[in-house]
Amino acid sequence: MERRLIEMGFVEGACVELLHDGPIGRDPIAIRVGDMTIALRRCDANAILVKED
Amino acid sequence: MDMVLINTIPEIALVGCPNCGKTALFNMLTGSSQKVANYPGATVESKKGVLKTSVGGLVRIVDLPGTYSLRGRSPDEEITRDVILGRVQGEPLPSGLVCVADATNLRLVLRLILELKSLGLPMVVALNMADIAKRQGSCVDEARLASELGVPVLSTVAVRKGGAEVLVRAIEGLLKTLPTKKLEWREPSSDDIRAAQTEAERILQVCMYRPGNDRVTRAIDRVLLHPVFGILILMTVLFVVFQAVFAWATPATDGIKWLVDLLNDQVNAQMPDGMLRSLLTNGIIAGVGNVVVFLPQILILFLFIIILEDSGYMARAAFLMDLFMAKAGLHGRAFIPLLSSFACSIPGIMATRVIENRTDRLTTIMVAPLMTCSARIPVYTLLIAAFVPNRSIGGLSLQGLVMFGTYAIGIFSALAVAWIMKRLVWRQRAEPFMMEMPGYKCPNIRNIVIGLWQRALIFLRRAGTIIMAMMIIIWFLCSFPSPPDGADQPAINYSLAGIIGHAVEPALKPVGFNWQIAVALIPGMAAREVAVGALGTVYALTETGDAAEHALQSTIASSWSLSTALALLAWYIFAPQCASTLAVVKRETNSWKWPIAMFAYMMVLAYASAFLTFHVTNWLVRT
Repeated sequence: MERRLIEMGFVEGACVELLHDGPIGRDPIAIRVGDMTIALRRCDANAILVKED
Repeated sequence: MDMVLINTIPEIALVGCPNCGKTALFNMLTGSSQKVANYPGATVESKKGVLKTSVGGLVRIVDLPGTYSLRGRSPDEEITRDVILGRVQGEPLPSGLVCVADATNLRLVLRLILELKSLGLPMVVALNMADIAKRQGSCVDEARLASELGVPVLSTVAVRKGGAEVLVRAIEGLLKTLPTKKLEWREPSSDDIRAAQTEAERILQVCMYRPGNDRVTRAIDRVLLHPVFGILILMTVLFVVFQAVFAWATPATDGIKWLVDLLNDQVNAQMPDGMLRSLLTNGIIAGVGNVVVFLPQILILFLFIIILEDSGYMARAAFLMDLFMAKAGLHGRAFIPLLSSFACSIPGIMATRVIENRTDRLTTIMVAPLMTCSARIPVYTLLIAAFVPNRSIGGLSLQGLVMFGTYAIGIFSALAVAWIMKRLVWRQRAEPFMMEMPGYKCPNIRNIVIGLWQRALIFLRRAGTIIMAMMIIIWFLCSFPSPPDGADQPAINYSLAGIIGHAVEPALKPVGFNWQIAVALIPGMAAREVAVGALGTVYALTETGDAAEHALQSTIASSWSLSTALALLAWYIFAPQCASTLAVVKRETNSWKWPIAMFAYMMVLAYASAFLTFHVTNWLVRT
C-alpha cells in the first residue's frame, strides 16, 4: 500500500489539505494532495504522517 | 488480399490515468468503428477501433483501461500492463503508445509517463482537456517538456471538433519510429517510485508547470459533499434514477410486449397448428421478445450512469455512501446497481461495471438478485391476496405488511450474503479504499450516445443469445412429448416438464409443495412472473385476463394449506427462477462458474427458507 500511496502523490514534502469529511462518522475523508482530490478511509489515512504548515 | 491487409495494420495503444478524457479521445479518433470484447479469460473489456490517417492508411487504436502505474493493482491495470508488454495471448504488441494526460493534473501522470518511457516503445504525450486547463489558468512549457522527455508533446481537446488533428499526424509519425531498446520491465520498489516522483517534480519545475485552479469544483463540492445537503441531494438523485428505471421504461416495455403479441397473433393466424407454429410463437418470438424487453430499462439506467460518471458526480455518490456500504462488505459504488435491482436485476448486474475492484464487483453481482425485483410482485400478490386476510393491524394493512416483509428479508439477506462472501469466500486483506475525485465536467453527447449504443449491442449479442437458447430449451421441455389422444389432463402434464416436475415432487414434499407447484416451477425458470401463468396452465384454468387471476386465487385458496402458500412465498424470495439473470451474470463475469455458484447458493437458501417456513407455520397453526 505504501507504493500505491506514493503513486497517488503522497510523497515526503507534498502538501495535503483536508477538504471534506464523510457524512456518517466523518469517514471517509477527501484530501487534496498535489493537484488532485482523493478519498481515503480514516483507517488507511492513519498510515500517513502529516505536519502542520 | 483485404484480409491480409487488415491483419497487419499496426496497433497504437492509448494509455493514461483514469479521468483524463482518454475515452473521449478514443471516441473522437475511432467513432463508430469501435468494437468491444472481453480479453481472453478476463472480465476486463477490450475496446478497439480503426483510425484512418490523412494519407489513407489504417491504424488500429486500443483504448487500454486507465491505470496509475504499471504495477497492476487491479485486473484493469494488469491488462493495461500486459498488453503494453506484449504478454497477452492473441494481442499484438503495440507499435506505439499515446500517453494521454489531464493537462490540469500533470503531476500525477508524469511519473507514469517516465515509467512508460523506460520501456522504449515509440511514444507521444497528449495533454488532453487543454481547453479546461486554459480556463483554469494552467500552463506548461510544452517544448521544454518535449525535450526533457525526449518525445513529442502536444495538446488535444477531445470534445471539440478538430481537437485531435495534431494527434492524428503525431500517430502517423509514431508509426515511422522504431523502438529504442528491448522491452523489459521489473516491478519497482518504493524507493524506485520515490525517485521517479522526484524526477517528475524536477521536470515540472524546469518546464514552469502551473496546475489548474478548479474553483468551480471546490464550490460545488461544498454543497454536494455537505453532510446534510449532500445526502439529501444524493437521495433525490437516487430516487430519480429509481423512478426512471421502474416507471419511465414501462411505456417502452409495454410497447415491446404489445408488438410481440401482435406478431404472435399474425403467426397464429397465418400458420397451421402444429409444432413448427408453436416453436415460432412460444419459442422464438417469445424468446426474442424476452430479450428485447429488457432494453428500455438497460438504456435508461445506463443513460443516468454515463451522465453521472462523466460529470464526476458518481465519485461523490460513492464517497457519501461508502461507510454504510462498507459495513456490509460492499463498495460505495455498489449502491446504484443494487438500487436498480429493485426494478430488475439485469440492468443492475450490468451496472456493476462501475465498481473497479474485482471482488467487490463479484460480491455485488452475486447478491443483486436477492433484491426484490418487480417480476416477483405478481407471485407475491397472488399468494398474499389468496392467503393473507385483508385485515388491519394498528392502521396498517396486514397484506401490505407481509409484502413489505418480503422486501425487508430480501435486502437483509443480500447484506448478509455480501458480508459472508467478504469474510469466508474472499478472506482477503482489506483493499485500501483510495478513490480519485475528478473535477466536474459537462458530459459530452457523443460519448453518451456511443456508450449507450455499445451497452445495447453487448447485451443483445452476448446475453441475448444465451437467453434465447434457454427460452427455447424451456419451450422444448414444456411442449414435448405432446399429449396422447383422449388426454384428460392439461398438455403440460405429459411433457418433459411435467415428467421432471412429478419426478422432483418427492424432494419438494418436505417443503410442502404439491405436484402442481413442482411442474409450474419448470417453465417458471424462464422468468419469475411466468410461474403465475404456469400455475394457471397446470390447474387447467380456461379463463383469461383478470378473470384468470381470480380463478387461480380461489383455486389455490381452496386447495393449498397456509403453510404451503407461505413456503412458496419464502421460496420465491430466494429461488433463482430467472434464466435471463444467469445469462447476464455469465456475460459480465465471462465464465460459467459464477452463474452456477449463484444458482446453487440461491437454491439452497430457497429450499432452507421454504422448509423452515412450512414447518414453523404448521407448528404455529397447530398450537
